[in-house]
Amino acid sequence: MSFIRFDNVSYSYNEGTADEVAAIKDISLSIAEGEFVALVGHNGSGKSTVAKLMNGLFLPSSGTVTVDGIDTAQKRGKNADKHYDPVYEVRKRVGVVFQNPDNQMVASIIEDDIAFGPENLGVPAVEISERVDWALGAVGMSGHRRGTPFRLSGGQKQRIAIAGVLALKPRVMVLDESTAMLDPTGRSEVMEVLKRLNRDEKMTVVLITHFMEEALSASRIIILNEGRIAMEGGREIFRRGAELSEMGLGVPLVCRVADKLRAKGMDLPEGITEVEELVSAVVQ
Amino acid sequence: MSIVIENLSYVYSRKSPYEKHALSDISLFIKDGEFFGIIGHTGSGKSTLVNHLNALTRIQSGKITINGMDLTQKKLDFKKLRSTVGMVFQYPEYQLFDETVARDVSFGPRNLKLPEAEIAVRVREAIEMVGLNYEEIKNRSPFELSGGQKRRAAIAGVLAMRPEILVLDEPTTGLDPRGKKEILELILRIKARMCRTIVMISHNMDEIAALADRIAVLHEGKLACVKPPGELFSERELLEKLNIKMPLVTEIANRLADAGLAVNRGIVGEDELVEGIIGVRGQGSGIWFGSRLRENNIKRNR
Repeated sequence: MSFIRFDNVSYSYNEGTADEVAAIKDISLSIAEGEFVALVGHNGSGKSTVAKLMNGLFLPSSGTVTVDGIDTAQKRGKNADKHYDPVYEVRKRVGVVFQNPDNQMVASIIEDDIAFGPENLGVPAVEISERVDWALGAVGMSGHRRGTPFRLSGGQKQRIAIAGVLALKPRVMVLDESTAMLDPTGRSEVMEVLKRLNRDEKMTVVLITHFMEEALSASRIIILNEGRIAMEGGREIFRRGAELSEMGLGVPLVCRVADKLRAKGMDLPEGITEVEELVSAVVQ
Repeated sequence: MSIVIENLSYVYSRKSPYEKHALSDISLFIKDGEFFGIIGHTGSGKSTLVNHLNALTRIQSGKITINGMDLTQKKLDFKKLRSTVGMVFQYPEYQLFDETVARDVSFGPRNLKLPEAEIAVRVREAIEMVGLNYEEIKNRSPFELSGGQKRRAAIAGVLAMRPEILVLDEPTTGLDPRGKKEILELILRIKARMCRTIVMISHNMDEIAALADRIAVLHEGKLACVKPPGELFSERELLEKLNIKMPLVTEIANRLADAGLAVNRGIVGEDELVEGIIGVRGQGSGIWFGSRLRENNIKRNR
Protein backbone atom coordinates (compact mmCIF):
# COMPACT_ATOMS: atom_id res chain seq x y z
CA MET A 1 0.00 0.00 0.00
CA SER A 2 1.55 3.29 -0.97
CA PHE A 3 1.55 6.05 1.59
CA ILE A 4 2.93 8.78 -0.63
CA ARG A 5 1.98 8.71 -4.28
CA PHE A 6 3.02 10.95 -7.16
CA ASP A 7 0.90 10.55 -10.29
CA ASN A 8 2.37 12.27 -13.35
CA VAL A 9 3.54 15.20 -11.26
CA SER A 10 5.16 18.21 -12.88
CA TYR A 11 6.25 21.39 -11.16
CA SER A 12 7.54 24.63 -12.61
CA TYR A 13 8.98 27.61 -10.81
CA ASN A 14 7.67 31.05 -11.84
CA GLU A 15 4.79 29.44 -13.65
CA GLY A 16 3.26 31.53 -16.39
CA THR A 17 6.14 34.04 -16.51
CA ALA A 18 9.07 34.42 -18.89
CA ASP A 19 11.37 32.87 -16.25
CA GLU A 20 9.40 29.64 -16.03
CA VAL A 21 11.67 26.70 -15.22
CA ALA A 22 10.38 23.15 -15.20
CA ALA A 23 11.93 21.51 -12.12
CA ILE A 24 9.95 18.27 -12.08
CA LYS A 25 8.70 16.63 -15.24
CA ASP A 26 5.99 13.98 -15.17
CA ILE A 27 7.15 11.99 -12.18
CA SER A 28 5.22 9.02 -10.85
CA LEU A 29 6.38 7.26 -7.75
CA SER A 30 5.05 5.52 -4.72
CA ILE A 31 6.48 5.10 -1.24
CA ALA A 32 5.08 2.51 1.16
CA GLU A 33 4.98 2.78 4.96
CA GLY A 34 8.14 1.57 6.66
CA GLU A 35 10.36 2.04 3.62
CA PHE A 36 13.77 3.71 3.67
CA VAL A 37 14.09 5.43 0.34
CA ALA A 38 17.05 7.48 -0.87
CA LEU A 39 16.43 10.16 -3.45
CA VAL A 40 19.68 11.01 -5.18
CA GLY A 41 20.56 13.54 -7.84
CA HIS A 42 23.04 16.30 -8.57
CA ASN A 43 22.29 19.94 -7.74
CA GLY A 44 19.37 21.15 -9.79
CA SER A 45 18.01 17.67 -10.50
CA GLY A 46 14.76 18.44 -8.68
CA LYS A 47 15.33 16.53 -5.43
CA SER A 48 14.39 19.37 -3.09
CA THR A 49 11.35 20.20 -5.17
CA VAL A 50 10.15 16.62 -4.64
CA ALA A 51 10.63 17.04 -0.87
CA LYS A 52 8.55 20.21 -0.87
CA LEU A 53 5.83 18.55 -2.93
CA MET A 54 5.65 15.73 -0.39
CA ASN A 55 4.33 17.88 2.42
CA GLY A 56 2.37 20.46 0.50
CA LEU A 57 4.91 23.30 0.67
CA PHE A 58 4.63 23.20 -3.11
CA LEU A 59 1.53 22.09 -4.97
CA PRO A 60 2.01 20.35 -8.31
CA SER A 61 1.62 22.38 -11.51
CA SER A 62 0.00 19.27 -12.97
CA GLY A 63 -0.65 15.76 -11.74
CA THR A 64 -1.49 14.80 -8.16
CA VAL A 65 0.41 14.12 -4.95
CA THR A 66 -1.46 12.02 -2.40
CA VAL A 67 -0.36 11.44 1.17
CA ASP A 68 -2.25 8.77 3.09
CA GLY A 69 -5.08 9.21 0.59
CA ILE A 70 -5.19 13.02 0.95
CA ASP A 71 -4.65 15.05 -2.19
CA THR A 72 -2.18 17.81 -1.16
CA ALA A 73 -3.83 20.25 -3.56
CA GLN A 74 -7.31 19.64 -2.14
CA LYS A 75 -9.02 22.92 -1.24
CA ARG A 76 -9.93 23.61 2.34
CA GLY A 77 -13.63 23.62 3.21
CA LYS A 78 -14.79 21.10 0.65
CA ASN A 79 -14.98 18.69 3.54
CA ALA A 80 -17.96 18.87 5.89
CA ASP A 81 -15.83 19.98 8.85
CA LYS A 82 -14.85 23.62 8.32
CA HIS A 83 -11.82 23.21 10.59
CA TYR A 84 -10.44 20.50 8.38
CA ASP A 85 -7.43 21.77 6.49
CA PRO A 86 -5.87 19.20 4.18
CA VAL A 87 -2.45 20.87 4.28
CA TYR A 88 -2.37 20.51 8.08
CA GLU A 89 -3.33 16.87 7.74
CA VAL A 90 -0.53 16.31 5.25
CA ARG A 91 2.04 18.07 7.42
CA LYS A 92 1.04 16.04 10.46
CA ARG A 93 1.97 12.99 8.46
CA VAL A 94 5.07 14.18 6.62
CA GLY A 95 7.81 16.04 8.49
CA VAL A 96 10.70 17.65 6.64
CA VAL A 97 14.18 18.33 8.03
CA PHE A 98 16.17 20.82 5.97
CA GLN A 99 19.84 21.37 5.25
CA ASN A 100 20.95 24.11 7.58
CA PRO A 101 20.38 23.26 11.27
CA ASP A 102 20.76 26.92 12.30
CA ASN A 103 17.77 27.96 10.20
CA GLN A 104 15.49 25.46 11.91
CA MET A 105 15.85 26.50 15.55
CA VAL A 106 12.96 28.57 16.82
CA ALA A 107 13.54 28.73 20.57
CA SER A 108 16.50 29.28 22.86
CA ILE A 109 15.76 26.28 25.09
CA ILE A 110 15.79 22.86 23.50
CA GLU A 111 12.53 21.59 25.03
CA ASP A 112 10.70 24.73 23.86
CA ASP A 113 12.10 24.25 20.41
CA ILE A 114 10.84 20.69 20.23
CA ALA A 115 7.47 21.59 21.75
CA PHE A 116 6.88 24.28 19.11
CA GLY A 117 5.35 21.93 16.54
CA PRO A 118 2.93 20.03 18.80
CA GLU A 119 1.92 23.31 20.51
CA ASN A 120 0.84 24.62 17.12
CA LEU A 121 -1.21 21.51 16.57
CA GLY A 122 -2.99 22.10 19.91
CA VAL A 123 -1.64 18.97 21.59
CA PRO A 124 -2.44 18.96 25.36
CA ALA A 125 0.47 20.11 27.58
CA VAL A 126 0.95 16.78 29.35
CA GLU A 127 1.20 14.97 26.08
CA ILE A 128 3.63 17.57 24.69
CA SER A 129 5.93 16.89 27.60
CA GLU A 130 5.78 13.16 26.93
CA ARG A 131 6.44 13.72 23.26
CA VAL A 132 9.46 15.92 24.00
CA ASP A 133 10.91 13.20 26.23
CA TRP A 134 10.30 10.55 23.67
CA ALA A 135 11.65 12.60 20.75
CA LEU A 136 14.83 13.54 22.62
CA GLY A 137 15.34 9.92 23.62
CA ALA A 138 14.84 8.78 20.02
CA VAL A 139 17.68 11.03 18.81
CA GLY A 140 19.90 10.24 21.81
CA MET A 141 19.80 13.76 23.28
CA SER A 142 17.81 13.20 26.49
CA GLY A 143 20.40 14.95 28.66
CA HIS A 144 20.03 18.24 26.77
CA ARG A 145 16.36 18.98 27.48
CA ARG A 146 16.98 22.25 29.31
CA GLY A 147 20.06 23.25 27.36
CA THR A 148 20.31 25.73 24.54
CA PRO A 149 20.60 24.63 20.93
CA PHE A 150 23.09 27.35 20.06
CA ARG A 151 26.05 25.76 21.81
CA LEU A 152 25.64 22.37 20.20
CA SER A 153 27.68 20.88 17.36
CA GLY A 154 26.16 20.72 13.87
CA GLY A 155 25.29 17.03 14.24
CA GLN A 156 23.64 17.62 17.61
CA LYS A 157 21.66 20.58 16.25
CA GLN A 158 20.45 18.50 13.37
CA ARG A 159 19.37 15.76 15.81
CA ILE A 160 17.40 18.42 17.72
CA ALA A 161 15.79 19.47 14.42
CA ILE A 162 14.88 15.83 13.80
CA ALA A 163 13.43 15.59 17.34
CA GLY A 164 11.35 18.70 16.61
CA VAL A 165 9.85 16.95 13.63
CA LEU A 166 9.43 13.67 15.53
CA ALA A 167 7.41 15.45 18.20
CA LEU A 168 4.73 15.97 15.55
CA LYS A 169 4.54 12.15 15.37
CA PRO A 170 4.74 12.09 11.60
CA ARG A 171 4.48 8.85 9.67
CA VAL A 172 7.13 9.91 7.18
CA MET A 173 10.35 11.88 7.70
CA VAL A 174 11.83 13.60 4.70
CA LEU A 175 15.43 14.74 5.06
CA ASP A 176 16.40 17.29 2.47
CA GLU A 177 20.21 17.11 2.39
CA SER A 178 20.16 17.25 6.17
CA THR A 179 23.71 15.92 6.42
CA ALA A 180 25.32 18.11 3.76
CA MET A 181 26.61 20.73 6.18
CA LEU A 182 27.82 18.32 8.86
CA ASP A 183 31.27 16.90 9.56
CA PRO A 184 31.76 13.13 9.27
CA THR A 185 30.97 12.57 12.98
CA GLY A 186 27.78 14.63 12.75
CA ARG A 187 26.81 12.87 9.56
CA SER A 188 27.15 9.42 11.05
CA GLU A 189 25.26 10.51 14.21
CA VAL A 190 22.32 11.57 12.04
CA MET A 191 22.47 8.46 9.87
CA GLU A 192 22.45 6.24 12.96
CA VAL A 193 19.35 8.02 14.27
CA LEU A 194 17.58 7.57 10.94
CA LYS A 195 18.42 3.89 10.69
CA ARG A 196 17.20 3.34 14.26
CA LEU A 197 13.94 5.23 13.68
CA ASN A 198 13.29 3.22 10.56
CA ARG A 199 14.06 -0.08 12.31
CA ASP A 200 12.57 0.42 15.78
CA GLU A 201 9.80 2.97 15.25
CA LYS A 202 8.90 1.74 11.75
CA MET A 203 9.27 5.31 10.57
CA THR A 204 9.16 5.79 6.82
CA VAL A 205 12.31 7.69 5.81
CA VAL A 206 12.91 9.57 2.59
CA LEU A 207 16.56 10.60 2.50
CA ILE A 208 17.53 13.21 -0.05
CA THR A 209 21.27 13.23 -0.53
CA HIS A 210 24.12 13.37 -2.96
CA PHE A 211 26.37 11.23 -0.80
CA MET A 212 26.33 7.85 -2.46
CA GLU A 213 27.64 6.15 0.68
CA GLU A 214 24.52 7.34 2.56
CA ALA A 215 22.23 6.09 -0.15
CA LEU A 216 23.61 2.61 0.54
CA SER A 217 21.64 2.59 3.83
CA ALA A 218 18.36 2.76 1.93
CA SER A 219 16.27 -0.19 0.87
CA ARG A 220 15.37 1.56 -2.38
CA ILE A 221 17.23 4.23 -4.34
CA ILE A 222 15.58 6.64 -6.74
CA ILE A 223 17.88 8.66 -8.96
CA LEU A 224 16.65 11.95 -10.35
CA ASN A 225 18.18 13.64 -13.34
CA GLU A 226 16.92 16.86 -14.90
CA GLY A 227 13.55 16.58 -13.20
CA ARG A 228 12.88 12.98 -14.17
CA ILE A 229 13.40 9.60 -12.56
CA ALA A 230 16.48 8.20 -14.25
CA MET A 231 16.92 4.99 -12.29
CA GLU A 232 15.18 3.18 -9.49
CA GLY A 233 16.02 0.05 -7.59
CA GLY A 234 18.19 -1.54 -4.92
CA ARG A 235 21.95 -1.28 -4.60
CA GLU A 236 22.41 -3.07 -7.89
CA ILE A 237 21.98 0.30 -9.60
CA PHE A 238 25.50 1.21 -8.50
CA ARG A 239 26.76 -1.28 -11.04
CA ARG A 240 25.71 1.20 -13.68
CA GLY A 241 28.73 3.37 -12.93
CA ALA A 242 29.14 4.95 -16.37
CA GLU A 243 25.53 6.17 -16.47
CA LEU A 244 25.78 7.55 -12.95
CA SER A 245 28.91 9.55 -13.66
CA GLU A 246 27.28 10.90 -16.79
CA MET A 247 24.57 12.31 -14.52
CA GLY A 248 27.21 13.99 -12.38
CA LEU A 249 26.93 11.42 -9.61
CA GLY A 250 29.65 9.38 -8.05
CA VAL A 251 29.64 5.66 -7.57
CA PRO A 252 30.47 4.46 -4.04
CA LEU A 253 34.21 3.86 -3.80
CA VAL A 254 33.81 0.14 -3.10
CA CYS A 255 31.81 -0.34 -6.30
CA ARG A 256 34.36 1.70 -8.23
CA VAL A 257 37.31 -0.34 -6.97
CA ALA A 258 35.45 -3.59 -7.71
CA ASP A 259 34.76 -2.36 -11.26
CA LYS A 260 38.39 -1.46 -11.83
CA LEU A 261 39.51 -4.86 -10.55
CA ARG A 262 37.09 -6.58 -12.89
CA ALA A 263 38.38 -4.46 -15.76
CA LYS A 264 41.88 -5.74 -14.95
CA GLY A 265 40.65 -9.28 -15.31
CA MET A 266 39.84 -10.21 -11.75
CA ASP A 267 36.89 -12.50 -11.32
CA LEU A 268 34.63 -10.86 -8.73
CA PRO A 269 30.93 -11.54 -8.10
CA GLU A 270 28.46 -8.84 -9.18
CA GLY A 271 26.84 -6.40 -6.80
CA ILE A 272 29.67 -5.71 -4.34
CA THR A 273 28.79 -2.56 -2.40
CA GLU A 274 30.27 -3.05 1.07
CA VAL A 275 33.88 -3.16 2.26
CA GLU A 276 33.38 -6.63 3.79
CA GLU A 277 31.99 -7.99 0.54
CA LEU A 278 34.95 -6.62 -1.40
CA VAL A 279 37.51 -7.92 1.07
CA SER A 280 36.08 -11.43 1.21
CA ALA A 281 35.72 -11.59 -2.57
CA VAL A 282 39.32 -10.49 -3.13
CA VAL A 283 40.84 -12.71 -0.45
CA GLN A 284 38.96 -15.81 -1.56
CA MET B 1 56.76 31.98 0.80
CA SER B 2 57.04 29.83 3.84
CA ILE B 3 54.79 30.07 6.89
CA VAL B 4 56.43 29.70 10.28
CA ILE B 5 54.18 29.32 13.31
CA GLU B 6 55.85 29.25 16.73
CA ASN B 7 54.16 28.43 20.03
CA LEU B 8 50.81 29.87 18.98
CA SER B 9 48.07 29.81 21.62
CA TYR B 10 44.64 31.37 21.57
CA VAL B 11 41.87 31.65 24.17
CA TYR B 12 38.29 32.67 23.35
CA SER B 13 36.20 34.70 25.82
CA ARG B 14 39.10 34.94 28.22
CA LYS B 15 38.18 35.30 31.90
CA SER B 16 34.52 34.56 31.26
CA PRO B 17 32.50 31.43 32.10
CA TYR B 18 32.79 30.48 28.40
CA GLU B 19 36.59 30.65 28.32
CA LYS B 20 37.83 28.18 25.76
CA HIS B 21 41.40 27.28 24.88
CA ALA B 22 41.09 27.05 21.12
CA LEU B 23 44.80 26.66 20.37
CA SER B 24 47.57 25.51 22.69
CA ASP B 25 51.21 25.93 21.81
CA ILE B 26 51.10 25.17 18.08
CA SER B 27 54.39 25.17 16.18
CA LEU B 28 54.35 24.47 12.45
CA PHE B 29 56.48 25.10 9.40
CA ILE B 30 54.69 25.16 6.06
CA LYS B 31 57.11 25.01 3.16
CA ASP B 32 57.07 27.13 0.07
CA GLY B 33 55.21 25.30 -2.71
CA GLU B 34 53.61 22.81 -0.36
CA PHE B 35 50.04 21.51 -0.43
CA PHE B 36 49.40 21.46 3.29
CA GLY B 37 46.34 19.76 4.73
CA ILE B 38 44.77 20.39 8.13
CA ILE B 39 42.32 17.92 9.64
CA GLY B 40 40.65 17.51 13.01
CA HIS B 41 37.21 17.33 14.54
CA THR B 42 34.78 20.21 14.76
CA GLY B 43 36.05 22.42 17.58
CA SER B 44 39.65 21.22 17.30
CA GLY B 45 40.88 24.71 16.37
CA LYS B 46 41.39 24.38 12.61
CA SER B 47 39.52 27.53 11.65
CA THR B 48 41.01 29.54 14.53
CA LEU B 49 44.45 28.53 13.31
CA VAL B 50 43.95 29.55 9.69
CA ASN B 51 42.19 32.78 10.63
CA HIS B 52 45.52 33.81 12.13
CA LEU B 53 47.24 33.48 8.77
CA ASN B 54 45.91 36.73 7.40
CA ALA B 55 45.46 38.40 10.75
CA LEU B 56 41.66 38.15 10.94
CA THR B 57 42.41 36.79 14.37
CA ARG B 58 45.28 38.66 15.98
CA ILE B 59 47.94 36.74 17.83
CA GLN B 60 47.49 36.52 21.61
CA SER B 61 50.65 34.59 22.29
CA GLY B 62 53.28 33.03 20.08
CA LYS B 63 54.57 34.14 16.71
CA ILE B 64 53.77 33.77 13.02
CA THR B 65 56.12 34.76 10.22
CA ILE B 66 54.93 34.67 6.62
CA ASN B 67 57.65 35.21 4.06
CA GLY B 68 59.65 37.15 6.60
CA MET B 69 56.68 39.29 7.64
CA ASP B 70 56.13 39.20 11.40
CA LEU B 71 52.40 39.06 12.18
CA THR B 72 52.84 40.00 15.82
CA GLN B 73 53.86 43.57 15.00
CA LYS B 74 51.30 46.18 16.02
CA LYS B 75 51.30 48.23 12.84
CA LEU B 76 50.86 45.38 10.46
CA ASP B 77 50.66 46.15 6.73
CA PHE B 78 47.27 44.51 6.27
CA LYS B 79 47.09 45.30 2.56
CA LYS B 80 50.37 43.56 1.94
CA LEU B 81 49.46 40.60 4.11
CA ARG B 82 46.05 40.15 2.53
CA SER B 83 47.42 40.29 -0.97
CA THR B 84 49.93 37.64 0.07
CA VAL B 85 47.52 35.30 1.84
CA GLY B 86 44.13 34.72 0.20
CA MET B 87 41.37 33.20 2.34
CA VAL B 88 38.49 31.16 0.99
CA PHE B 89 36.08 30.59 3.84
CA GLN B 90 33.46 27.88 4.25
CA TYR B 91 30.55 28.52 1.91
CA PRO B 92 32.37 31.47 0.27
CA GLU B 93 29.35 32.09 -1.96
CA TYR B 94 27.54 33.58 1.05
CA GLN B 95 29.93 36.50 0.72
CA LEU B 96 28.94 37.46 -2.81
CA PHE B 97 27.30 40.85 -2.62
CA ASP B 98 27.64 43.01 -5.72
CA GLU B 99 25.35 43.52 -8.69
CA THR B 100 27.53 41.84 -11.27
CA VAL B 101 30.13 39.12 -11.12
CA ALA B 102 32.84 41.45 -12.51
CA ARG B 103 32.13 44.12 -9.87
CA ASP B 104 32.10 41.52 -7.11
CA VAL B 105 35.44 40.09 -8.20
CA SER B 106 36.94 43.58 -8.53
CA PHE B 107 36.17 44.47 -4.89
CA GLY B 108 39.55 43.33 -3.54
CA PRO B 109 41.86 44.94 -6.10
CA ARG B 110 39.77 48.14 -6.00
CA ASN B 111 40.40 48.34 -2.26
CA LEU B 112 44.09 48.09 -3.04
CA LYS B 113 43.55 51.30 -5.06
CA LEU B 114 45.04 49.79 -8.18
CA PRO B 115 44.61 51.61 -11.52
CA GLU B 116 41.39 50.67 -13.39
CA ALA B 117 43.28 49.01 -16.24
CA GLU B 118 45.14 46.77 -13.80
CA ILE B 119 41.88 45.92 -12.02
CA ALA B 120 40.27 44.93 -15.31
CA VAL B 121 43.19 42.63 -16.16
CA ARG B 122 43.06 40.95 -12.77
CA VAL B 123 39.29 40.48 -12.84
CA ARG B 124 39.40 38.79 -16.24
CA GLU B 125 42.35 36.65 -15.17
CA ALA B 126 40.65 35.53 -11.94
CA ILE B 127 37.32 34.73 -13.59
CA GLU B 128 39.05 32.73 -16.32
CA MET B 129 41.24 30.98 -13.76
CA VAL B 130 38.18 29.55 -12.00
CA GLY B 131 36.89 28.21 -15.29
CA LEU B 132 34.04 30.64 -15.89
CA ASN B 133 33.49 32.34 -19.25
CA TYR B 134 34.39 36.00 -18.66
CA GLU B 135 32.39 37.55 -21.51
CA GLU B 136 29.34 35.48 -20.70
CA ILE B 137 29.34 36.02 -16.98
CA LYS B 138 30.86 39.44 -16.24
CA ASN B 139 27.58 41.37 -16.33
CA ARG B 140 25.39 38.73 -14.71
CA SER B 141 24.24 38.91 -11.13
CA PRO B 142 26.21 36.48 -8.96
CA PHE B 143 22.91 35.45 -7.39
CA GLU B 144 21.63 34.03 -10.68
CA LEU B 145 24.45 31.51 -10.93
CA SER B 146 24.24 27.84 -10.00
CA GLY B 147 25.68 26.66 -6.67
CA GLY B 148 28.98 25.49 -8.13
CA GLN B 149 29.36 28.65 -10.27
CA LYS B 150 28.67 30.88 -7.26
CA ARG B 151 31.41 29.18 -5.32
CA ARG B 152 33.84 29.60 -8.20
CA ALA B 153 32.91 33.27 -8.60
CA ALA B 154 33.59 33.77 -4.89
CA ILE B 155 36.99 32.09 -5.22
CA ALA B 156 37.72 34.38 -8.19
CA GLY B 157 37.19 37.34 -5.86
CA VAL B 158 40.03 36.02 -3.69
CA LEU B 159 42.28 35.25 -6.67
CA ALA B 160 41.90 38.80 -8.00
CA MET B 161 44.21 39.80 -5.14
CA ARG B 162 46.86 37.52 -6.72
CA PRO B 163 47.77 35.89 -3.42
CA GLU B 164 50.84 33.71 -3.24
CA ILE B 165 49.39 31.54 -0.49
CA LEU B 166 45.80 30.34 -0.72
CA VAL B 167 44.03 29.12 2.40
CA LEU B 168 40.80 27.17 1.90
CA ASP B 169 38.46 26.17 4.73
CA GLU B 170 36.50 23.11 3.60
CA PRO B 171 36.07 24.21 -0.01
CA THR B 172 33.89 21.30 -1.14
CA THR B 173 31.28 21.17 1.64
CA GLY B 174 27.69 21.07 0.44
CA LEU B 175 28.54 20.45 -3.22
CA ASP B 176 27.36 17.46 -5.19
CA PRO B 177 29.97 14.97 -6.50
CA ARG B 178 30.42 16.79 -9.79
CA GLY B 179 30.79 20.16 -8.04
CA LYS B 180 33.32 18.65 -5.62
CA LYS B 181 35.41 17.22 -8.39
CA GLU B 182 35.39 20.54 -10.25
CA ILE B 183 36.52 22.49 -7.21
CA LEU B 184 39.34 20.05 -6.42
CA GLU B 185 40.56 20.23 -10.01
CA LEU B 186 40.34 24.00 -9.80
CA ILE B 187 42.48 24.06 -6.64
CA LEU B 188 45.17 22.00 -8.37
CA ARG B 189 45.05 24.37 -11.35
CA ILE B 190 45.39 27.38 -9.06
CA LYS B 191 48.34 25.74 -7.36
CA ALA B 192 50.05 25.10 -10.70
CA ARG B 193 49.47 28.57 -12.11
CA MET B 194 49.04 31.11 -9.35
CA CYS B 195 49.36 30.27 -5.67
CA ARG B 196 52.37 28.06 -5.08
CA THR B 197 51.41 27.26 -1.53
CA ILE B 198 48.01 25.87 -0.56
CA VAL B 199 46.72 25.34 2.96
CA MET B 200 43.46 23.42 3.02
CA ILE B 201 41.17 22.35 5.85
CA SER B 202 39.04 19.34 5.11
CA HIS B 203 36.74 16.88 6.82
CA ASN B 204 36.94 14.58 3.86
CA MET B 205 39.80 12.16 4.45
CA ASP B 206 39.68 10.72 0.93
CA GLU B 207 40.00 14.19 -0.52
CA ILE B 208 42.84 15.42 1.70
CA ALA B 209 44.75 12.13 1.45
CA ALA B 210 44.73 12.40 -2.33
CA LEU B 211 45.85 16.04 -2.47
CA ALA B 212 48.07 17.02 0.45
CA ASP B 213 51.83 16.65 0.64
CA ARG B 214 51.66 16.72 4.43
CA ILE B 215 48.74 16.73 6.85
CA ALA B 216 48.57 18.34 10.28
CA VAL B 217 46.14 16.80 12.75
CA LEU B 218 44.66 19.13 15.35
CA HIS B 219 43.14 17.59 18.44
CA GLU B 220 41.50 19.68 21.16
CA GLY B 221 43.54 22.73 20.18
CA LYS B 222 46.86 20.91 20.14
CA LEU B 223 48.93 19.79 17.22
CA ALA B 224 48.81 16.00 17.38
CA CYS B 225 51.16 15.35 14.45
CA VAL B 226 52.29 16.41 10.97
CA LYS B 227 52.89 13.61 8.49
CA PRO B 228 52.60 12.75 4.81
CA PRO B 229 49.20 11.11 4.13
CA GLY B 230 50.60 7.63 3.39
CA GLU B 231 52.41 7.61 6.72
CA LEU B 232 49.60 9.20 8.76
CA PHE B 233 46.86 6.93 7.54
CA SER B 234 48.87 3.74 7.99
CA GLU B 235 49.18 4.36 11.74
CA ARG B 236 46.02 2.76 12.90
CA GLU B 237 46.61 3.16 16.63
CA LEU B 238 47.33 6.86 16.31
CA LEU B 239 44.19 7.37 14.23
CA GLU B 240 42.10 5.51 16.77
CA LYS B 241 43.52 7.60 19.59
CA LEU B 242 42.69 10.80 17.70
CA ASN B 243 39.34 9.38 16.63
CA ILE B 244 40.08 10.03 12.98
CA LYS B 245 38.65 7.85 10.26
CA MET B 246 40.92 6.42 7.63
CA PRO B 247 40.24 7.26 4.03
CA LEU B 248 38.03 4.48 2.70
CA VAL B 249 40.80 3.35 0.34
CA THR B 250 43.20 2.92 3.28
CA GLU B 251 40.53 1.12 5.28
CA ILE B 252 40.05 -1.39 2.45
CA ALA B 253 43.85 -1.86 2.19
CA ASN B 254 44.04 -2.49 5.94
CA ARG B 255 41.17 -4.96 5.92
CA LEU B 256 42.86 -6.82 3.09
CA ALA B 257 46.15 -6.81 4.96
CA ASP B 258 44.35 -8.12 8.07
CA ALA B 259 42.98 -10.92 5.92
CA GLY B 260 46.54 -11.88 5.02
CA LEU B 261 46.95 -10.15 1.67
CA ALA B 262 50.34 -8.48 1.17
CA VAL B 263 49.07 -5.00 0.34
CA ASN B 264 50.63 -1.86 1.79
CA ARG B 265 48.61 -0.50 4.72
CA GLY B 266 49.51 3.08 3.85
CA ILE B 267 47.76 3.17 0.47
CA VAL B 268 45.74 6.36 0.01
CA GLY B 269 45.03 6.39 -3.74
CA GLU B 270 42.29 4.43 -5.44
CA ASP B 271 44.38 3.33 -8.42
CA GLU B 272 47.26 2.47 -6.13
CA LEU B 273 44.88 0.16 -4.25
CA VAL B 274 43.68 -1.48 -7.47
CA GLU B 275 47.31 -1.96 -8.59
CA GLY B 276 48.20 -3.29 -5.16
CA ILE B 277 45.42 -5.87 -5.26
CA ILE B 278 46.17 -6.89 -8.84
CA GLY B 279 49.83 -7.14 -7.82
CA VAL B 280 49.11 -9.77 -5.19
CA ARG B 281 46.01 -11.41 -6.59
CA GLY B 282 46.11 -10.95 -10.35
CA GLN B 283 48.01 -13.10 -12.81
CA GLY B 284 51.15 -12.18 -14.72
CA SER B 285 52.96 -9.26 -13.18
CA GLY B 286 52.03 -10.38 -9.69
CA ILE B 287 54.24 -13.45 -9.53
CA TRP B 288 56.69 -12.03 -7.01
CA PHE B 289 54.00 -10.65 -4.75
CA GLY B 290 51.98 -13.78 -5.33
CA SER B 291 54.82 -15.94 -4.10
CA ARG B 292 55.25 -13.67 -1.09
CA LEU B 293 51.57 -14.16 -0.34
CA ARG B 294 51.96 -17.90 -0.59
CA GLU B 295 54.92 -17.71 1.76
CA ASN B 296 52.78 -15.75 4.19
CA ASN B 297 50.03 -18.29 3.90
CA ILE B 298 52.48 -21.11 4.51
CA LYS B 299 53.83 -19.30 7.55
CA ARG B 300 50.34 -18.73 8.85
CA ASN B 301 49.33 -22.32 8.24
CA ARG B 302 52.26 -23.50 10.31
